[in-house]
Amino acid sequence: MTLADMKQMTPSHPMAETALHPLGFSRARFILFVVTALAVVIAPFVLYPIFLMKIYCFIIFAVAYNLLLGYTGLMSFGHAAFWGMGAYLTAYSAANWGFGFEAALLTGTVTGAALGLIFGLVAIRRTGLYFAMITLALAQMVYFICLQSPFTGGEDGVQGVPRGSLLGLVDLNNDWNLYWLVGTILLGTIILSNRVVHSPFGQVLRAIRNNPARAKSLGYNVDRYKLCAFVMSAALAGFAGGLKAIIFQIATLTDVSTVASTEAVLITLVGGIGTIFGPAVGSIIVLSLEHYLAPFGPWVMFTQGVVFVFFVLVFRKGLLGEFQSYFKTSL
Amino acid sequence: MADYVLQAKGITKSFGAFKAVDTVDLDIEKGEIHAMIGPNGAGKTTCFNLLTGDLPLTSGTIHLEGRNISGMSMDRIARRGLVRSYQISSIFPDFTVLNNVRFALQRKRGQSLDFWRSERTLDDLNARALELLEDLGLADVAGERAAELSYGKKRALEIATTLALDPSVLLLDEPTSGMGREDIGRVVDLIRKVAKGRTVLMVEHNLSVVEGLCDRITVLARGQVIARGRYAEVAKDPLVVEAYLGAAHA
Ligand SMILES: Nc1ncnc2c1ncn2[C@@H]1O[C@H](COP(=O)(O)OP(=O)(O)O)[C@@H](O)[C@H]1O
Ligand SMILES: [Mg+2]
Repeated sequence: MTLADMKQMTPSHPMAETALHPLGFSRARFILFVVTALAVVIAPFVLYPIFLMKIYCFIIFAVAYNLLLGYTGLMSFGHAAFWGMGAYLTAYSAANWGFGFEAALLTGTVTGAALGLIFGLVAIRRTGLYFAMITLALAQMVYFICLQSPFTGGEDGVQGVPRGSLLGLVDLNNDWNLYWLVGTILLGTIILSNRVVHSPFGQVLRAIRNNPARAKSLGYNVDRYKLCAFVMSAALAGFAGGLKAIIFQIATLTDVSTVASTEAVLITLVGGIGTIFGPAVGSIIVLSLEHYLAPFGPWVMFTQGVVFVFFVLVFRKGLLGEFQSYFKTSL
Repeated sequence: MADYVLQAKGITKSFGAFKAVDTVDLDIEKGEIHAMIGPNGAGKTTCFNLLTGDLPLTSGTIHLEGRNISGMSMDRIARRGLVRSYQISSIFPDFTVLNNVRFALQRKRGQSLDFWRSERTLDDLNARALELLEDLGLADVAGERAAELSYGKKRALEIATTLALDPSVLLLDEPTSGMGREDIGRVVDLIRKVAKGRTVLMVEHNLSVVEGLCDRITVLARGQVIARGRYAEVAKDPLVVEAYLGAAHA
């Protein structure tokens, strides 16, 4: 091969695709995106829109989580704090301050980001298990504060959250209107996450996941990049929690408890860490299991445990992670 | 005073009670190729770790181009132009060989916080990355995953990545170890070539490489400098001979 040939070739990723498709997707990812979009359009005619919207919120939450775990290599056990506080502040501002849909969601997002900045500043210098433990401890503190302070409504939660309308035009009390909006937001989030991951910034994150020490010795301010990723992830988690609060018109202690953090971890691992579409696959599997096993009461937990162990043992990289290795293309 | 680019005064690193580096002074002149030699465990790598900020100093000071860099973080020191390669190759295993080098070029160019642009904007760095790979005989594996490279090629890749940053002071920790004769020749030629316009400090066990390449050497044993000067003078120093023989017998 001549040097000229080599210069033609542009491997931008170990599993590089040469052609660039619309919206910045590779071909494989573009196909998956089309499939996802079709599923979003068809699904509400088959399944309950409310259940679907719940899945979509968790997909967005897991996309946020995956940005950290999958692309930066940071394991957080405290994402419930961002999701839950995002939900609370969205709900509270809509119910008590008369904030409209957009302003309330923005409040939830900013809450997530601000909390993420605090968590990040405390934890970012630690790595591995220490990092995970600090995020867990901080999230437990947030839970405790929520349990004690009156604004969360204690066990009752913040109820009767008005959904409002989109830009004052589209009435969101109509489930179908809300569904199309949430579906669009989901697709937008996937485009955005693909964009971020496959950007120069995303390249730095992946390098940090690969070899943080070398990234640092090449002159990258690794802690700053990690902090940026952490705040982005927390903001998106807060946004997802806020969206869920609007859809269900309630924010509760469950949202801010370790249950929510576990959900993010589980979905991401089942779907495939470090893949754009893994969160979608993971959310569908995990939430469907929960939903369809709900009649069996405590068996949900047991089955969840079995599924988790199964995935860890059989699909070490998660479902899409395994596909990714098999087809040698990044999904 | 001579024009010292890199100057260490009394640098010390203790691991518990053990002093791996014990009040070492270093004066590296601008534009020279300086070798640091000494038996295994003498503290050479630890010395590098102190100079680059990989490890915090126990005591002592380091000046880079007249500025005190003691206690500065590793990435800041790197941005000031002091960049190293590691004894144990440090690469990005999941990246392609090309992207390993390109990642270093990306830092030089800036814009690494751009999260709204496509990574394809980095493609215009490919040509320069390939040139560097050519220099190290890696052009034909540019598209491979770095993890798949042989030991020697990983070392070459790390050197290419280090050079991509165009450092004013280049620290190489045993750049030729584990390489075949042909690759050693290539790396030696390359170091000679890239040394023009910059300063090189290298740890090297192959004394014929040192003799052919380096202007001055510093000999370390048990954490301390036991000799320094031109190769021909130092090689005759009885302390040095003893340190080497002693190590060989140990
Ligand atoms: N992180 C560390 N903790 C404890 N001891 C260390 C550490 N790093 C190096 N040492 C010890 O310091 C001494 C010098 O090591 P090193 O600098 O790697 O030597 P060299 O590179 O000259 O072979 C060795 O005895 C080594 O065991
Ligand atoms: Mg060494």
